[in-house]
Amino acid sequence: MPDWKLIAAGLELEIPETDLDRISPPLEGLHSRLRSLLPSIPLLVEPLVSFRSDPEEEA
Amino acid sequence: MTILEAAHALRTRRVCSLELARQALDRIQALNDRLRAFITVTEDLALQQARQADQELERGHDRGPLHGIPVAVKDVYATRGIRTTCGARIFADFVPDFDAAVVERLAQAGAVLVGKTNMHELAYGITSSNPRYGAVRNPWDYQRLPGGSSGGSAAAVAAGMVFMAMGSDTGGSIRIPAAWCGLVGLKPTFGRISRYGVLPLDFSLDHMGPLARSVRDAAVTLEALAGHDARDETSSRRPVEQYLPPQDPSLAGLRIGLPENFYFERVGPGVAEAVRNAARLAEQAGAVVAPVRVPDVAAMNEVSRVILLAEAAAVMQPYMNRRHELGEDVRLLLEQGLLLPATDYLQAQRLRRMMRDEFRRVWKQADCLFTPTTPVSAPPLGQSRLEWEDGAEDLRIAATRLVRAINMFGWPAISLPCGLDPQGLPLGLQIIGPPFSEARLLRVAAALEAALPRFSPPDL
Repeated sequence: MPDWKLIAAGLELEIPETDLDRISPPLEGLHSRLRSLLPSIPLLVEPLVSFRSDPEEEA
Repeated sequence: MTILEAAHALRTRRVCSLELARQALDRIQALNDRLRAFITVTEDLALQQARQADQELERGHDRGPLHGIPVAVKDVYATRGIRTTCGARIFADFVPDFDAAVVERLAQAGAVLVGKTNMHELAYGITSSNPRYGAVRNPWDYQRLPGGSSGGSAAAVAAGMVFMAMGSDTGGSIRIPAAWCGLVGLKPTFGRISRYGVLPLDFSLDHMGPLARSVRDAAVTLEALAGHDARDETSSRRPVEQYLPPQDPSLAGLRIGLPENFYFERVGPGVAEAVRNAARLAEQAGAVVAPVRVPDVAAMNEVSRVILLAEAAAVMQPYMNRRHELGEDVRLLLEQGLLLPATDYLQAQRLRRMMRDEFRRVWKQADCLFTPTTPVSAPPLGQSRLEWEDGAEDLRIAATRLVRAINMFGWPAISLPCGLDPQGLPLGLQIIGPPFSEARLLRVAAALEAALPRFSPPDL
């Protein structure tokens, strides 16, 4: 399980300790549920984000 | 009265736009202290636009069904010279020097803008209990939530302050308040209505759409707003269709899918029955209703939440040095997003592609899906959890459970009133379709609207 408090400190996010105590459980839940889905992703699947090298082709 | 009824009255000179605008402003004046539906009322602009609308109609210059009709926009739409707060103290003094594309097109269509509506702070929540601008109340019952984040838009339309109000929908924020306030709420396909000039919550999940008192009012609004806009690089170049359904629309041969998994689980009293009754009415109108199995929508919701947490945090990160000015719920969500690893975000975007491809196989079996919009009717103000036989559920998670996933795919959906629960509160039917099927969804919704009783809030 990631140590969210250490990550917050490392990233200098200045998230108050009380907030970290409250957000760590839901964040951990979401993070681990996402992790459980990762084995289903085939190697060649790319993220669904749109980027084209030529801006004229966008949209 | 609906937009189309008012439009007819304007053209037969039974009323003028100035009268409609004054009536709208009077109603806002009378009710806004209780409902908290508006953040800003644009009285001078409304009266000026109404006078211009009347003069143009006098001269035979008719801009279409919205000409001279009082409307409002959620306070996420930039308005030139008028503050645009996004419901947040951080933006309390933000006065854009440009109009959002939606505001421009409403003006081009002759609509009269009477104000900017209250909302959940930063459009990041479903209660519309705004820490700075007050808790929006539900016109059906002041002690209940209107839904959100477009709660002010819903309350304004349901209370008869305006004929239509624009909302935005990132994870259900048009459809949830439409369901809880007994309105029609349309979330068009991503790219159908320009996002230019809308303060973003999430780059890839935000959709713009109307809340209205009838399906046809939503349709004429979409006709006025749809179309390509080069300033929004996700705007679609696909030609705009005619969205206004014909009178007595036929559903002959239409294939309606009724999900046999997920969508009817953990729903409150009367919800499943109301949706199934709507399906029976559609069947009587010629549609073919069949059960369909949908993919893992719970997993889709989780993936969508990862994307939202990360993208919303990216939008707001430059303002996080003012986190103390944010409401607690929104601050905690933004802080979660800041902590998510980049790999989680990218894996979510990979899963998004896979899930879209899996879900779209449903469209081989069905032309649209019927589901409840929300698992329950409007909860009391202050409620934060729902209790089920198998445990409690956070209200925000519950309220978005049936509407969130399809934002990830950009597909259109409409919510319309389909019944009342045992407490007399409205319930919403959600009709979901494949991309750019708005005309079909509106036709189905119009046929059902004609077959169902009319649902109006109690006199205020």
